[in-house]
Amino acid sequence: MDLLDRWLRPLRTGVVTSAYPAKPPILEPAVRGLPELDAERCTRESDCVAVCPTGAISLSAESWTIDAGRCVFCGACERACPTGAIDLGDSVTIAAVAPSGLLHVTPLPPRPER
Amino acid sequence: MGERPAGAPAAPADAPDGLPSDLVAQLGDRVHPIPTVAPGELVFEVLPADLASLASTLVGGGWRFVMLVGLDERRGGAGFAVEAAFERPNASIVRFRAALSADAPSYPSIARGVPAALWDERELKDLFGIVPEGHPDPRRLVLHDSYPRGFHPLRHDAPTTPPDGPTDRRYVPFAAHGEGVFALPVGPIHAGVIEPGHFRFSAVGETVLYLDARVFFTHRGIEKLVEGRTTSNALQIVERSCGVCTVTHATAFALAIERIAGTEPPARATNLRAVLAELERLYNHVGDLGNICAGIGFNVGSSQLGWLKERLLRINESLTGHRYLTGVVVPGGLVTDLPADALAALPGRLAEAERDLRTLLHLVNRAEAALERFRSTGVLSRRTAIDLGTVGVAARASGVPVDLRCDHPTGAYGTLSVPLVESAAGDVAARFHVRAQESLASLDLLKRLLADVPEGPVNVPLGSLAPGASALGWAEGPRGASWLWLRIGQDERIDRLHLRSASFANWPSVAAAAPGNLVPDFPLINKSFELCYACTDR
Repeated sequence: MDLLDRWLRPLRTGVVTSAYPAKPPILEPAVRGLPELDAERCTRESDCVAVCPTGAISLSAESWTIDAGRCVFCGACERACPTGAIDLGDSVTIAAVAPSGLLHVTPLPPRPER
Repeated sequence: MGERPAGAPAAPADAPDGLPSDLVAQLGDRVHPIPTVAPGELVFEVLPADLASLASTLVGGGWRFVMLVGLDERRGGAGFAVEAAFERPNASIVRFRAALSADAPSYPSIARGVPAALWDERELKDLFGIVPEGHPDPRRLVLHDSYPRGFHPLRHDAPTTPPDGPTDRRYVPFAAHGEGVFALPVGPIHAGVIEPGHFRFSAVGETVLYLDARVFFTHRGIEKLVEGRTTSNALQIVERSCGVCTVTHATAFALAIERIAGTEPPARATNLRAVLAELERLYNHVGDLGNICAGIGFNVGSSQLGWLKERLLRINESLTGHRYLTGVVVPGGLVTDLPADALAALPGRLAEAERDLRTLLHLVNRAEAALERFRSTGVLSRRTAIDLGTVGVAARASGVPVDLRCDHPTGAYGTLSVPLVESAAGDVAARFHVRAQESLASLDLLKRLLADVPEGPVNVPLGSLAPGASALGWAEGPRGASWLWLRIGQDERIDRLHLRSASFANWPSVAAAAPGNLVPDFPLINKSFELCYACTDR
């Protein structure tokens, strides 16, 4: 009986691995992936740059850049952003074949005229 | 809560300041209290020459060795210092501080009387150049052969990169010699995705005579790295000392800060911290039960328990956004509240996990061929466990009832009455049994914690951190007691942090459990302790 159970249990369980990379990975809604910027809402306060514990974020007039090689997914930037423009989304497939591939650049629209 | 070790004599009557009266009589006017901000800690200045005898007296009287901390205070015009801490359940923690010279710091070794300090003293010698005179094993521990002689990274004037220079002679493993004795070197690179450790077996045929275990291949200098950092920045590093004791390390760190600041986290935060701590214990224990099955090639057990662990990791992710629970516990409480929908779904998901865990434990416990391999394999005797200061599952499976959740409860554990699971056999079967029962106990604790989550904020502002203030922090993790010593410097930055993880405490016990067993059983024995390398090496 016990032996039969040990034989049948794996069959009853079936396949539990996901079909990644053919299908997207299975994630919970709360998952903290790489920070993503909504460029329309960014007011360039640079609070995110100041709070980042690893110096992963850089901000210029033209773009907002996050270095996936430095980011530790702590969420400090998301909490610090005064306009809620940053979201730790579900982008977790961030491996790259060259260091430059770890730099994720979000272009910023030209600064609106006052 | 279990009984205290029967062999330990009843604690002597304490002097008013919390020290055993015989110790006060022994030291006379050579012990001076030092004021401290940390509640429940007693700090004393003693002479270096008195450290060894008082350590032996305390440990002989049922106290347990906590840690040794080295300090470089030459910048303040003083020399080096060493601090030794001891604890007893539900009593004050005592810390003895001895000032050492700036030029040739040394003190008589305490490890001959207190073997639990064997590795602490070797580490002190490597990282500070503080020499424990008469130490039974003067070999290097943390810094392997390639580091130059005279390089002690935790000294303030040490360069961050080791300079070129002559090294000590090559590492000589302790080995047995004689006709028919083979030396079997294994590692540091192993088959499978595990951390690096070098194991030198002395074996006759299949039987291990002696095992010399060498770790610290992943020493990253975390204690040096956090010096001068803000507490919020240091937390990011400390909680990543290893991958699987995150809540344990973060809670110990937060506790030390809160004890210095005089801040009490709110009730909702302490409740949810305990929820996270039990979830951490649960996924580790379930994974370890699976790994023990893998150690004997019992594939149904290892794959089914592995799948259960994966589901527990997804529960972690649903609550915190991170499978291994980083970035949630902070000094003052939690960084943000846990998502309400995930918290509401938690009891249902855990009930499902409990049903499957019970079925799987039944399956393994009915597999006589598996149990046969577990029984009488890798025995750690109660005497050895006490001498080596073994903690956690390994101690409780050898009849040593220690658990910081009972002995020095903090936060929600103060009112939770945690059941202490024990076994006397000290073998792999006992460690399997204790883990299994503790997993079920964690599920029960989670039910009790989740039935009554207090409303309110999850964090409070921290009080100020006075320069020079020091305190201990601790937490009972999946592998046992992790202790952390913290001192604040200028501008509320870290002056010195020392982390003594449960894995650091237990590595010598793994080596002690191997002799007399078959070499092919060592993977099983090692998995039954299931220690981290990373938070040992730091």
